Amino acid sequence: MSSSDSTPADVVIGIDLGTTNSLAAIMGRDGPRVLVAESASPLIPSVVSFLDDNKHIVGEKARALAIRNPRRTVHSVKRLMGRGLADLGDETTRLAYKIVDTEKSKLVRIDIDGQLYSPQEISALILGEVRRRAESALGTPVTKAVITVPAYFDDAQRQATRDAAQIAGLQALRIVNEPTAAALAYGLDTNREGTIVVYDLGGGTFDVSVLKITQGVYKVAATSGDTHLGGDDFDNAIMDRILGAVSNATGKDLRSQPEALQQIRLSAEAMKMELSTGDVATLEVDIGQDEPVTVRITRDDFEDMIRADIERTLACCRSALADADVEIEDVNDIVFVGGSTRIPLVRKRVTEVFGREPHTELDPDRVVALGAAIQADVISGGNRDLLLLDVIPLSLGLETMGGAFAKLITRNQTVPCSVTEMFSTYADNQSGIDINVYQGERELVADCRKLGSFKLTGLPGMAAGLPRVEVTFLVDADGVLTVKAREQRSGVSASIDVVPSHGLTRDEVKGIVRESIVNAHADFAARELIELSNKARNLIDGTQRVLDMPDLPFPPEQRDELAADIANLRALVEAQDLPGIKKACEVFGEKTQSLADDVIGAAIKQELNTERSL
Amino acid sequence: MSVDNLRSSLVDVPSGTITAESDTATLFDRLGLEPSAVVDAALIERHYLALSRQLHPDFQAAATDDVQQLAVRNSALLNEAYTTLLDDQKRLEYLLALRDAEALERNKKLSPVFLMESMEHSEAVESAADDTSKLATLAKTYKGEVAERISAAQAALAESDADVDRVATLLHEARVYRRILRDCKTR
Repeated sequence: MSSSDSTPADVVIGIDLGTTNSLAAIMGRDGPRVLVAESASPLIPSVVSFLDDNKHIVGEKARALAIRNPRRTVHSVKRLMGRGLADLGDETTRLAYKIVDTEKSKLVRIDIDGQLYSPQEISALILGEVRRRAESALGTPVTKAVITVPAYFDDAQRQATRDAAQIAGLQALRIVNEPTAAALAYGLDTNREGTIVVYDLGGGTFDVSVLKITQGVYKVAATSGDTHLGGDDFDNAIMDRILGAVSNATGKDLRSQPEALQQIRLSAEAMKMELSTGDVATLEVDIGQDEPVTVRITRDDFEDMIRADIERTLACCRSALADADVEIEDVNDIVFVGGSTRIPLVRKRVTEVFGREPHTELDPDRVVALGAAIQADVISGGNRDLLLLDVIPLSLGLETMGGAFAKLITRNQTVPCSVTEMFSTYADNQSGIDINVYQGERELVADCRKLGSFKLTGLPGMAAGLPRVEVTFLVDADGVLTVKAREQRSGVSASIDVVPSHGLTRDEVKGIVRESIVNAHADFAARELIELSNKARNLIDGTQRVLDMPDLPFPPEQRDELAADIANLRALVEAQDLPGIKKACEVFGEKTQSLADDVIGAAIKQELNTERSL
Repeated sequence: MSVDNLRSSLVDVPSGTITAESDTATLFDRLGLEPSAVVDAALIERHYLALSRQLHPDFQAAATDDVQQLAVRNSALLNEAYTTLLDDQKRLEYLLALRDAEALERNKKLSPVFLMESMEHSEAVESAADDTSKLATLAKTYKGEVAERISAAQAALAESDADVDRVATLLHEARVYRRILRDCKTR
């Protein structure tokens, strides 16, 4: 028993919930390690495929089904988290599955044969699979996790991630920024100190963070990024090239054929990877008639397609350095994170701009999960030496008269942070005020992102400008905002239940959780089986140890009976017979109670002796 | 140097008890420092880290909900104090407000001569475009302009009879130059 990493009650895992792949890690005695279930790869494709009769599968098998079951296979859902249809632009035309928005909320839904799913629910299914595999790897139930998000995720996207965890039955103890997690893993691995820049170009998002590491303190000085720039965009560029070539040669538009679209998506991704090592990639598209269409893309072509995107990432780097007040010459190390950093042009340009080679020693696909595990260890009390100080990526504020954006919290503030400011009314006898909360960097709310709104009502009639409304913004350590408002003269407080513009309300999340509990008997049974099997194994081991002791105080019949019980219980565990194990454990437990007392008595005696001998 | 007997308005350091702050506490009280225009950055850093290790929510995951909420609040107050006091511009603006809460607002209008000059500087940055050596030279000039005003304001605020209106103008002008300096660096 003492060989496990921690006791079941304390298990907190780190989860990297990625656009392309997801994985879990845990802190062990010798540092963080990635969790691997029976299957070969710890990387679980972030893909969910819906089958007939309301069933679904997640991971490798779902990914493999993408071509046969395109309309019901959801990939890259992370790019939809906390987003509206308008945010996504023409990206939706390249998705083989259908997304819609509803009248009630601007949040997009995924339409599977008329059944609507929020991105949070799809993410929850992925988290559920990560959790199941972690439980099977650890042999213990998992209910708590630290989950990573792109540093540049806004409030709606962070909140959506927290909601996904709740729907999956996981308590998200902390939301950690991916580049910060990577810096933790990197720092712990190399013991390096100084100023480091983490350049994180993943499947769907780009982040850059500037950190200062001193004596176990990881302080983020500034962060910047783009939550809609990553490997998917490079795939899309190649897809467009392929679709264009097919259309030119045959006049056919394959966008209307989901099966073909999925096939081309996978081919585009394969070509992209090929172009990271080779100089040219060729694809033959068989459209079922005449000659197949041949598409040839050279590395130069590909680099031309993505050059503007790469330059955008470098502009983000300059902005983060300026915010951090750090000169390029003062950067000690650059760390590469995310699969897209394997692209040669990325490496070349970053090396040119920073004047040094980026670090790639740690696997860019795993480093984030490892860092999340380190932070999970800090939060569960295992490590008191590390201190992580992160920042809020985007400014927060509210709408004032004429659509102006009044910033209360400016970007790159260390979290938690809080600001209180006074506002007033502009009309006489105004009985309520609307408080519209926005996030962004521009001067007008029209150019910022609306997070939600709430109303301060029940104000007593006063002349314009007389009420003193105190508005407090509090951002917690997850980078998630809470807003409170109070009118000072009357003492009226606002109901602070913010109606999110691109998210689920508290009630909606609760409703989904309730439903999922009803539908999750199988999940419960699986978890109970793990717990009971562990209990049974402990009983077996403990009893066996006693039976192996020389000079047993029991009659031989009792000894034989116990040996038979052990064999029986072992067979039940082997057969995964849940009700059988349950019953046998109870009977066996009672029987061995006196035995256990003796063993405990002996153990205590031994303990006392050891103590005395110290 | 020991920080064990550090006195903060946010947490009782020896026992680690997180306390609700009184209304009269200053940003300096939060970090256990005496108010002053000139500060020791290394000392602020040391106090901040010692207090963060007690207040940060990461270390309160096992505490009751009430204590956790207080930890978030006090961490926010600590971060505010740290960010404000370590940044020359913000610290001096805060000290000025302690002396005269209206001074900054009252002196918001800068002289037409200064505004003309600053517009010319903005245009200089604009026309330097991609010329990195030219931008670097400009950045150096503006850094000097900021530093000159900050040290003048700092010296004035070290005296008990500072001319608050003059300090306010210096700080507004420093802000303008900081903005131009940022344009230089991100271009």
